[in-house]
Amino acid sequence: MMSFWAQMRVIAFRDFKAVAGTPVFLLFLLAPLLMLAMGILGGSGAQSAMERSTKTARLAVLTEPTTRPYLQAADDQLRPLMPRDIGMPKLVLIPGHGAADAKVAQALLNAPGTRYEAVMYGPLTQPQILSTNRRSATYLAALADHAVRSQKTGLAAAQRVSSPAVTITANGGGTASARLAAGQGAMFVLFLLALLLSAQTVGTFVEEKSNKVIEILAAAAPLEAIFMGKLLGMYGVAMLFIGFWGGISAIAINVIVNLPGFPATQLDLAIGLPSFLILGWIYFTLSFFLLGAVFLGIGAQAPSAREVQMLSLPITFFQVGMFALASSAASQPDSQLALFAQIFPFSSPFAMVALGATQAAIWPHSLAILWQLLWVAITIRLGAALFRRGVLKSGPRLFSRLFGKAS
Amino acid sequence: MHSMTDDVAVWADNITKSFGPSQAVRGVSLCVPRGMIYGVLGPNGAGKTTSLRMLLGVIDPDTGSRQLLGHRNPRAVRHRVGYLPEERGLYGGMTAREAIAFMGALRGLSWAEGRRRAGDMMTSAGLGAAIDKKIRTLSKGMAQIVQLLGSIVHRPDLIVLDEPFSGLDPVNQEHLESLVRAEATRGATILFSTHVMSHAERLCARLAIIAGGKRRFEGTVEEARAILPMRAHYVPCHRPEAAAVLLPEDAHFDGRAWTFTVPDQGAESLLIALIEAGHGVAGLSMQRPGLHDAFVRIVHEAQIADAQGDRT
Repeated sequence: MMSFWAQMRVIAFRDFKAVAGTPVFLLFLLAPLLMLAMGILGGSGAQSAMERSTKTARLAVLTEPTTRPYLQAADDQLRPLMPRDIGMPKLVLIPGHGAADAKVAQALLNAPGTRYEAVMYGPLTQPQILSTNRRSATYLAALADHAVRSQKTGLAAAQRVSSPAVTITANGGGTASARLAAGQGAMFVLFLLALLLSAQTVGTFVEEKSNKVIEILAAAAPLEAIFMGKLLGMYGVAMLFIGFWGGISAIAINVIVNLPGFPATQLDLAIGLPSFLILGWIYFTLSFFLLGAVFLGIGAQAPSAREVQMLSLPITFFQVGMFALASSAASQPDSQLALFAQIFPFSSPFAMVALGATQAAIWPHSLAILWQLLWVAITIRLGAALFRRGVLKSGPRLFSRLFGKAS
Repeated sequence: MHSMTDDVAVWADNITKSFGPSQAVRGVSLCVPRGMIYGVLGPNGAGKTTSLRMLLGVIDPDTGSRQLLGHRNPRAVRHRVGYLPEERGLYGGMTAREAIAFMGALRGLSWAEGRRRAGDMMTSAGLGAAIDKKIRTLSKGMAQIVQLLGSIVHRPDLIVLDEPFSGLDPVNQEHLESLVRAEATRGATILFSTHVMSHAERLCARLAIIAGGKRRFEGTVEEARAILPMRAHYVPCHRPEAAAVLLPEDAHFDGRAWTFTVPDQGAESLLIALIEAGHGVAGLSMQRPGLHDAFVRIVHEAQIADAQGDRT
């Protein structure tokens, strides 16, 4: 008798060829280029808009000539501490007008042309700040505080009391926060790939149902073999996609890290990079099969392509929900939520890959892989049973079929 | 009902199937000996397709039992069965060769052997020119032949064909009959459903007639035809109209000849009476009604019986 696996391979091979052997597959393969192009366009547009805004914006201080050097020195010291992407507006020091400062400040804020985000006036010990946002106000307040401290200690405006010797060096990236970030990054990549690729399985039964091949398949092979074969075929397509883009990404990363001036970094993950990559591949495979089996099972129930399209939305929400759960869990590694996300089958691959970045133990992964494999089998079995019951109108006892012999 | 032996390819005992409130099959029993061409006849909606699907294990019966090639679980012998469903299905993007090889591969044949056999079979079927054409470019009849070839490429012991002749032109129907006979000669058991009597008359060694979800007849074509009495066509020599008093009540006169049902005790005594009455015999022929008439009669009686059953 022909084996389950052999029939599964036949169906997988057919599906893989049917998808990967068509010109449309090129569009699918190159789809990330569109995303990249849109991202670059959108990103550069947003950046230039922010730069334009920062260039035209100003912070003003109405001040006496004696305090000007202190304020300037404070700005020189504090500005480098601000993150570059915040883009703090340039500081303008304007001679004060005494009692009229309040009116001048208000006039500056309302003036057309130069856009003042905030104006500070009055004595620096008790400055008045008019601001369009809290960030600029806080910065001006810090400037005033810094300048007053310098004045009161009798130092010259730009005089430093500490002369540190600074050496910039790589710390190996092995800190807990770096590992946490690496884990979350890996989880995001895993989620993105699972979102993009496993959702492709939802419509794979539409072809067989519309061209009536399903009857031939159902008569020739166990439904579980058909389901597994379809998943395996789409997994082949997914691996082709990942292989293509993974190769390009590897080359790009290799080029970038070898650029002159690129800071030396070392990704020090808890279980080591090679093991982490292998785990990542295993968890991708399991998440693909887990989510794919759910989507395939649901899609197989849909009588037409229209229903399949409508199913895409709840499916995407479900995936995002799983990602949100795993993401929350990854940010609190030792919490009950993390344990739940690691155990719940559909978030488990995401949560476990994040765990791989932060904890060195291998046994939780062995356990998780077995657990997830069990759920892949259960999900496929359930999908096949539902298909037999809902579409073929056969198999009256769902649970006896679920836990009985494969048919 | 026959008992199950190794000589039986398909056996079913009182299988039933309902889809929601609709009872599609209400008790069908079959026994198809190995190596035989066996027909399942019935009007549209009789339950033929559902019965075949249950026999093949595509769906399970609600009650009753069935065996296929000696196995209680028909799915255990899927690789020894070829099946042409009523609703034809092929992947439009595949070539004819790949489609045949794919169906063979599903039943355990290697792809390479499947492709090789596909070439031979297509050439034998006169479709050699279409072997590497996409299915979507073939005519409906050609695609149907391709699907049939796909269902027998692995040389199954049992071939189940659901309405195989529908949609085929006379030339392809003739070709399909030849294929069926060739497979039977090879030793395969053929079980096919149809509501076209001429194919059944030409091909079937035995047949079952299903109507209203029940089996109403089982036997040979001759046995089916024997359900109806013979009809006589009698041409008198003299005073033809006056012969009416001697003929059965259902006798019909067309102006020259009488047609009537031959009485149960035979035509001999009736003929003697006609000759003695001076009508003579200018012409006489007797013939058994065809399978078509027998089928119509059986189905009609089934409908009446079902209607009476519903009323009671």
